[in-house]
Amino acid sequence: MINDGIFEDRRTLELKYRMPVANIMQFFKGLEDGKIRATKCKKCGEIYFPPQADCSKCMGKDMEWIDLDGESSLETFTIVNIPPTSFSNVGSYVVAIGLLKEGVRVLSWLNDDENHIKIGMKMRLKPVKKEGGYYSYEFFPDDKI
Amino acid sequence: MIVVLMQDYAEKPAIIGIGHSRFGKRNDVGMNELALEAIKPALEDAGLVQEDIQFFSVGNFGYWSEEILPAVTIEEYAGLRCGSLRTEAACASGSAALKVAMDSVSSGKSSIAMAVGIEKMYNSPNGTIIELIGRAGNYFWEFENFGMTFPGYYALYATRYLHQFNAREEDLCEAAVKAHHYGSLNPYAQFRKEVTVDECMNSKYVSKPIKLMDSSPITDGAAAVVIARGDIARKLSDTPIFIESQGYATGTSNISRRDEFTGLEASRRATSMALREAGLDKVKGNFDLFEVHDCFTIAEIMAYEDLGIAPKGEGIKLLKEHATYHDGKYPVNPDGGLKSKGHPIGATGVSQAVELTKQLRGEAEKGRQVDVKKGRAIQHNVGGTGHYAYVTLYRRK
Repeated sequence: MINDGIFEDRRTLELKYRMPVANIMQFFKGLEDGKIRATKCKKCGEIYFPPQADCSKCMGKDMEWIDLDGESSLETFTIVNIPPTSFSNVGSYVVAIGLLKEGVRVLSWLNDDENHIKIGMKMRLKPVKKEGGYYSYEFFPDDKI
Repeated sequence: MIVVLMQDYAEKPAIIGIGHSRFGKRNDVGMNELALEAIKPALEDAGLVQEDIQFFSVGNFGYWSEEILPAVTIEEYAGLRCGSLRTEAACASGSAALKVAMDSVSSGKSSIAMAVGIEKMYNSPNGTIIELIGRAGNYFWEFENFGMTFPGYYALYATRYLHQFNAREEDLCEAAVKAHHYGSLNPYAQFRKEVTVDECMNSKYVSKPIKLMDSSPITDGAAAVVIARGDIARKLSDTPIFIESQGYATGTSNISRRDEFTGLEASRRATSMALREAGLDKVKGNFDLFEVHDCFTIAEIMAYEDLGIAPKGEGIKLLKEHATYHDGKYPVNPDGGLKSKGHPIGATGVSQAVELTKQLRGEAEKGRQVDVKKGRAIQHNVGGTGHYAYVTLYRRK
């Protein structure tokens, strides 16, 4: 169809990636067990979140898994008022960056009322079971920390 | 000393031709036609024909437009026969195209080359565009589960900046007011009307605290520069604009792996590299004007501080004092910037080069021509949210 000088494409393509995570499976297993895990290089001690199978610093391959406590403080946040198409059924959401006590930062959703959110507030990063039985991780306010 | 300098410049790349399409929603043209709107005037400006171009690069992000190999379709359509490639460095893809073309000239591989930047964003619906740019942070860890958007990323910076330096959203809007003032004077700009702080404040949140009027628009556009080796440039042009140096840096893919959210570390590293190569120790006091990457109002303020024309946390002061207007101490984006001129992703870096060349030649439109005294200008082009940074120094000599 040509309307107003624009030829509308008759072909559509569904993009759905298949992303190998075999070398960081412990992370996904951890979520199911209620744990959030990072990797630590046995040689140089560097901690990685997101977890990775190789050490970018010393190029070592000998990594160990560590459990992150989840205790964190809010460094910055935003409310995504206009979400991308594939999130259009979610409504608006709060995205936050938290500094974990282990020294790594994590970007995730923050489950809190917009008016209650303050930079520096204490949060807990926890695994969450999403619709369809799939696991993710999100921040929750934690006044007890 | 003078002899040494002359020799240096004989081998330095210089811009001898510029071309720029009108920016905006360009549903009236296809990608190749749009490219020609920049390529043809660039060749004419240089007094050259297609056969004179020995290499050609195309800054383009793509994805939203149908042709996967735009460098090939454009080369064919423009009647060039010199070999080409497409460069990708997100919103700094245009600077990457400049890099490839100038390196080709500097290395002696070619004596005259061309860099083109182009984006045809409106070939896809807005929602798709918002999604594709959002995916260009870190797809797996930041998009898949958390639906980050491009305004969302810069909003993370804005929230922290406003908090840390006790600034207000109204202060950010001052950058939009300046951008639109100059956009209104630029015949190639997407938005050619002035806005007020109130209008900016009343616009809807896209990703709080960033509002629609804090954001650069979706844009179709193209820009082109012809680059020649210094000695040839002097023969072909009365006003060659030398590319004195270029610095580049790459930041982390995950924004969560950055140490601070009030500036872009990659920008500072690229700036140091560019200055070092030009034998300068700082930005302050050495440049007549600046083109900075103001994809959002907060980005312009962080750019002032990353370039070192304002101390940390005091960028807003420059705006309030009108120090970054065309007749101020540090003229920034007298073409309207990404915010008002428009931001066709891959074209932006080349468009900035076109504007600086025009300004250093003294050919900008009335009301926006900067007083050129030192003969030097600086280009700051960021890709993603500090994923790439390219800083390029220009000199009229």
